[in-house]
Amino acid sequence: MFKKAKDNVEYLISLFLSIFAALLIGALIMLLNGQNPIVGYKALVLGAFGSKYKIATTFAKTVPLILTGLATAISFMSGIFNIGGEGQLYLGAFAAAYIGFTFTNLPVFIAIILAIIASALIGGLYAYFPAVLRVKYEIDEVITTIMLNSVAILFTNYLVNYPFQAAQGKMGGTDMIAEAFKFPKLVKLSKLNTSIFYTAIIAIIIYYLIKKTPFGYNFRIVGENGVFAKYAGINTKRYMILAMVISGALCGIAGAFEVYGVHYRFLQNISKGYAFDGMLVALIVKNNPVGIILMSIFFAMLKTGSNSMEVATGIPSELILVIQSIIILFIAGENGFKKLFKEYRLKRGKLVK
Amino acid sequence: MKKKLMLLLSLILIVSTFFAACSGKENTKVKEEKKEGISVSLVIAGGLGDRSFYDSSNEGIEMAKEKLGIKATVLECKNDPSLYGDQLIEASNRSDVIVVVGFEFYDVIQEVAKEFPDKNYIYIDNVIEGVPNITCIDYMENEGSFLAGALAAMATTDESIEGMNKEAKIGMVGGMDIPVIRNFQAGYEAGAKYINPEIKVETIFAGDFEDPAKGKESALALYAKGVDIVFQVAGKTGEGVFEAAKDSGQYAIGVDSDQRYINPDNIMASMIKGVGLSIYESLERIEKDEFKAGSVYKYGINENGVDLAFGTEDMKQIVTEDMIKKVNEIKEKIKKGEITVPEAK
Repeated sequence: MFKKAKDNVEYLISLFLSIFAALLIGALIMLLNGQNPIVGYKALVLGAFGSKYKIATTFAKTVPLILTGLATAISFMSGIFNIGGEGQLYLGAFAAAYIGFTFTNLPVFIAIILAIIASALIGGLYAYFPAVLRVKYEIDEVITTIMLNSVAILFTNYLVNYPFQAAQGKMGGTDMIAEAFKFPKLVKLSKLNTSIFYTAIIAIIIYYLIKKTPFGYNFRIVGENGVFAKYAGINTKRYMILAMVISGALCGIAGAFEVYGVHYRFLQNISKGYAFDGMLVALIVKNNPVGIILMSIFFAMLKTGSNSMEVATGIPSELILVIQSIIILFIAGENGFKKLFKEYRLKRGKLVK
Repeated sequence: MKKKLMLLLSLILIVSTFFAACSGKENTKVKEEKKEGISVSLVIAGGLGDRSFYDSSNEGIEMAKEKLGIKATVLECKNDPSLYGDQLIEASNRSDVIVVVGFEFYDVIQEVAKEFPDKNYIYIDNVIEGVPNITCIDYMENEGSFLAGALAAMATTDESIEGMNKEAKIGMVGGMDIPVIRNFQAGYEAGAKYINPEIKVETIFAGDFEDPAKGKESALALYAKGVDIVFQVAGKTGEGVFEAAKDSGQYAIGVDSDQRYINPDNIMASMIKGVGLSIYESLERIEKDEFKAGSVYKYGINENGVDLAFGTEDMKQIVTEDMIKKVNEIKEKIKKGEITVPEAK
């Protein structure tokens, strides 16, 4: 128990070091471009938190990140890798949109519940097949899920361009969902809507599931040591499939929230890699649910702020991609950091003596 | 070692702040000098550097900067739907006139324009009617593509052009299977059939506007089927089509801007969409107070909104004089209304 706490502290230190180093390298790049990094970062932070609208925009962007991040965390910690979040998100979004524009006469409450359930079911189902293939026939789920992404994206592309094409305006989307179903906006003009509350509820449930129930413990055991789990009498296959299905369902729900909270219809390119961004978030914080929320806010801040930064200072917004990648690179080398840290402490210890 | 590293890093920081302080001042000076004319923001759904649609819109802005003295900023959304709203609002806060390029903005622009009633929105590539501060520019892509189709149909059976086979088969690579692109397709097919009713037109949708690799793959597949000429309507993806044409020694037709300069040996012509021109003309109308806000401006062959371009004079023409003459004849016929070009729905 004590060792674990120490591990966590070490991890946190290396995380902050990574972020700091990444920001520093970002500053260097700005310098090489003849820009002032302080002005740049100031514009970035102001762009993300400078006004009520900006804060709302930043927080609106955390919703899909948190959901896909949690989805990744559950599957990765159980030792099964769901890289197909993007496809599950597209299908979930489409299912939710379908309910929104077809059953327009349903009571609002029922319709929304139905849409969320449908998106979770479709997303979960789409993750179920590769999971079964993995545990039954040892077919690598990384490859199947990544390929199923294209299948889902292209299939929904077909759906919105032919059978479900919007009646008005040429735009590669379905019809709008019923007016009453749209999630209310919390701040005028921004995309922030009530889905952030639902996301919070989901995050709390997942946190409880992972950290406080034997159920979550089993997921971790299966992921960390499958052989041990088997000898301990845990049905590893069942847990792996279940983790995958929950993961897919969360991605599906992320899609539903995009439709009901942001776009009000399914668009053919509704997500530009949310699932992959979420995966990065989860990887950086090592599948920790609280970490995912904080890191999602950080990523959202970078994304919202970078555009304002680009307009205000001319520093290309792509710079944040560099920063994000460097953080990941450093986190991947975390063990090296730990070693450095240890050596430093050893040295200091000697000095004191 | 570590101390040295820290020293180096802190040195860098100090130097950087110093430089930054200097460069910052220069920047503000430049900005102050340019404060004349109306302020315009160009919001594009994709990114600059496609040597096609979006770049052409930027050319219009650049021209207006030069001739009308406007002040302009470009905001790119890089095909990320979560940015459409953000960038449009940012633009609305900054400028009086917002030029919005991309059919993708259909919902967002209606939502935002309502909140900024005193701003003027010029919307390219889609049609919204009845909003007082949204003015639309609608291109008749089908008319331009008709010319491209006619030219391709004439050239594909002409064995005097190196590399052409006898087969009456032409191809097209579309970015995505969406209404705008289908409008190109409809015109292209109709133009080809106008010349040769027996001709076969093969179309592949690459599924992406930003992926040259997919464009190349699609074009190579078409060339392998015996197609000699591929019309690309795929933005950046189209760069791959040009590469495929070069690799296999076949021909391509460019889109949106005059793209012959990219590779004059394999690109026989380009169907140009006068995006830049129409933006410039709209801004000019605003300056002269002739602008009819809330209306739809149609840009077809008649308005020089779409055309077929054969590059600059120093390039050796791939197609023959007769073909160009014939294309011009068809153009006249469309202008007079003797030919009606079908539209895709």
